[in-house]
Amino acid sequence: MKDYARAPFFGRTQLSTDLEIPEGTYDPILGASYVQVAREGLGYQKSQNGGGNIPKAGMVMSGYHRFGSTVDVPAKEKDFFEGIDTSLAGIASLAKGGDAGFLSEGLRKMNAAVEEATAKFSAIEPSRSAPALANGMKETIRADRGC
Amino acid sequence: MRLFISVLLVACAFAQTPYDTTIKPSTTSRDIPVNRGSAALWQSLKKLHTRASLIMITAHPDDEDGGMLTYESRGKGTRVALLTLNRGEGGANVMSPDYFDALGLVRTQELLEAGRYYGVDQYWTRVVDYGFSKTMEESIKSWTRDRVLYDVVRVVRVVRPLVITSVFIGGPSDGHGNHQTAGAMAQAVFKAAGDPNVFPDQIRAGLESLGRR
Repeated sequence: MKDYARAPFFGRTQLSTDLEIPEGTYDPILGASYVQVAREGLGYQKSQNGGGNIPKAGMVMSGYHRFGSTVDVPAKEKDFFEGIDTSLAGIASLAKGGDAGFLSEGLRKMNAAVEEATAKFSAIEPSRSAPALANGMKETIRADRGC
Repeated sequence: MRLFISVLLVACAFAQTPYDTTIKPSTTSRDIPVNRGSAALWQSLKKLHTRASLIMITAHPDDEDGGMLTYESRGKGTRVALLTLNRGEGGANVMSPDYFDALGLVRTQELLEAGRYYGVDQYWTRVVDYGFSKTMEESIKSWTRDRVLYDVVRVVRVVRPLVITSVFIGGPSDGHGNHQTAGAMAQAVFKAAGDPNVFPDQIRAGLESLGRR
């Protein structure tokens, strides 16, 4: 678990910027950068900004300072989750005591189904992902029942 | 025709935006473009592939780092929550003559609308935006520290994020006293949410402390 705050834009502080989030990254599936999508939403807060502006394409970085971490991390990080196992297999670490073997195996099968669905993804024929997702659903139900 | 309408109603009832983590009735007749079609499926596949989770804690609607929230939720597949301490009812209004409680309703709806674009689940605490204050002490005097922390700890124990963030550092550079308090709470909850002796009534009610994760 980790704790961060955005590095201040102004004011005299000695806080380091330990991580920068590339929120100006362009997403070809969405047809916009993440900060452009966000500003479109911010524009609905009209009582405060009268409508807001959507920035032009281009990189925008947002710096963060790390205040705490329960896992070992380097001074400069590339991702909020560096040092944390965020894979589906990592969910098994939450199981305290008892036989969690069935859980690890179930998570492995779920992950394989998601990766197959992702590999077969087609923007013009999204149904190609459906069989793998259906299989993943069955594996999820099976793991949930502990069998 | 009746069959067609029935099918349509069922489809609408279970339409899911990519950041939804539970199946629930749709509250919109037509979702925003980035939540539809192949774009929605692509984002759902990212979310199915990770257990990454993050919460941002701010003071008022429009304080949030929407670009970061959107990057994490839609770009990385992270499960993202936004906790805003109050409704911003003590703030300005450049669009209408609504102030105080009426403005709080307006800004709540505005933030909910913005959140659809960020791709976040949203939460608030019970404290009121009473107007501008220069220091954290003024905010704490109005709210009391325990009342704010109680609600923040409760939301973090419900969301159970792997990463806690804020746009505020809990100091004078944050400006408004409400901002400073939000920053301080985002740091205090990092330890408090994991300690079962902090607000033990929440544990007795069924929530779990976060522990070392």
